[in-house]
Amino acid sequence: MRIDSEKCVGCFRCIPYCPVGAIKRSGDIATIDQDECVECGVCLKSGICRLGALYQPELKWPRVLRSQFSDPLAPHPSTGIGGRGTEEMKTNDVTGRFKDGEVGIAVEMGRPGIASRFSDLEKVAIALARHGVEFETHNPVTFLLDTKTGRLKDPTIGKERVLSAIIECKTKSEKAVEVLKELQKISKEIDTVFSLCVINKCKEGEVPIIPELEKAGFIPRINGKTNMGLGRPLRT
Amino acid sequence: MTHTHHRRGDRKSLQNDYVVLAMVTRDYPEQTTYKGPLEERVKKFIEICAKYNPVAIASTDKAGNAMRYMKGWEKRMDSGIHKSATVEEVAKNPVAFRHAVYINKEDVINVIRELKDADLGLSVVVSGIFDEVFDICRKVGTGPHTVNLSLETWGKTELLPKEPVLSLLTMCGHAMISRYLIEELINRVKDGKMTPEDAAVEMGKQCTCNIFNPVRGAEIIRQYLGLTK
Repeated sequence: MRIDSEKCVGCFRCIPYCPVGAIKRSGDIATIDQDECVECGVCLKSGICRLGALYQPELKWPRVLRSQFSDPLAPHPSTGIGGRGTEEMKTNDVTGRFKDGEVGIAVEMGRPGIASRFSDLEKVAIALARHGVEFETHNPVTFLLDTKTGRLKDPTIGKERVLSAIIECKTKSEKAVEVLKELQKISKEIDTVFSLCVINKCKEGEVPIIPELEKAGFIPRINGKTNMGLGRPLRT
Repeated sequence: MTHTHHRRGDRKSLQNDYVVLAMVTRDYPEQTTYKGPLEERVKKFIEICAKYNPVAIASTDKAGNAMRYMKGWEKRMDSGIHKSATVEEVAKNPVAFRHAVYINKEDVINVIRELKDADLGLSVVVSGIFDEVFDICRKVGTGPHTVNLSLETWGKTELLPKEPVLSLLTMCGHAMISRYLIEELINRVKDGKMTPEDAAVEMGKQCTCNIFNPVRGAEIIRQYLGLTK
């Protein structure tokens, strides 16, 4: 995103709309720190600038990744859909993506609202790959990774900054705690945050993985997402 | 798309916060063709969701426009790409469903019960407190099939904003609502320049998926500032 210095009158009303604080005062006008900007488009979409000073230039590789991952209205060319992840457990009643004895893990880098560089994402992906997790093939992050090593296929994208990006994978239930402990370690080596999801198929109205998580000291929040089992044809 | 996940707050606050969404997989065409045209089932889905007092509901119309209703959002507050619609407009000729947000468990029970009876074949996900949602399942006689648990936020958590900003910010999982905007709007309410309800709508407008709960949002602001209704 850019600000046309000829049109900006320095009202600075756009500043608070930026989720990452990239819009700053520069003398009498507002400017955007291009290194910090994640190309989410929130400022432009808000309509806060009535003078049309905010404008979106065409983004080229690798900067275009910022928009693809930060703006939920921008579709990913790799998957053809917008948003940041996949159907994950939302259609599990039909797809059976997560089976009995499996655990899905989603690491959303930069969430909530802190943003992340791909270099930090790579650190986490390498840690996950070391434990032999199965990366989700439909996820746009997976397209950017060598799934055997977790390394970025194109190292030059490491500096790109996005509002968030989700690494999705799954593993066997008995390996889940081991993987979470690895994530705990790597979380101390990154320059941002991640929000962590654990997906599990229910059995007779219970969540089988919860006792194991709690025993290892990983206490889930009281709230989250539940697939209600209304999808058809139902995969039991 | 874990955008309805990781909503922060205590039990009391989260008890008034449910998000319902529907999805059809791209991988199994049997779901797309289950019991007739998908478009009719989507329409029926929205009709059911619209009946039970959503505080936010959204769809996409045939022209590809986002149709968004949020309680308290008046036309005078439209700006940029953010345009308000009525519940009736959201339910009229949709081609795709987005989400519906509720503040009462009884309304969600009614929605899920009616969806089960309608047997639309769409996958339905409810975000909310697990024991409450599991209780809904028991009352309606369905699932739960699969859960997505939140293990909170790890890493440099000292970078996170404090409450109540975090509870408000996490009601848009894509983080389209800037922490700085939230702080500014709270200050405007504090200075008597804006109502908590209008501040919540200005926050919720930025959430293009329309999953921000404006009633809960206003209540969080009010409680933080010690205001009475």
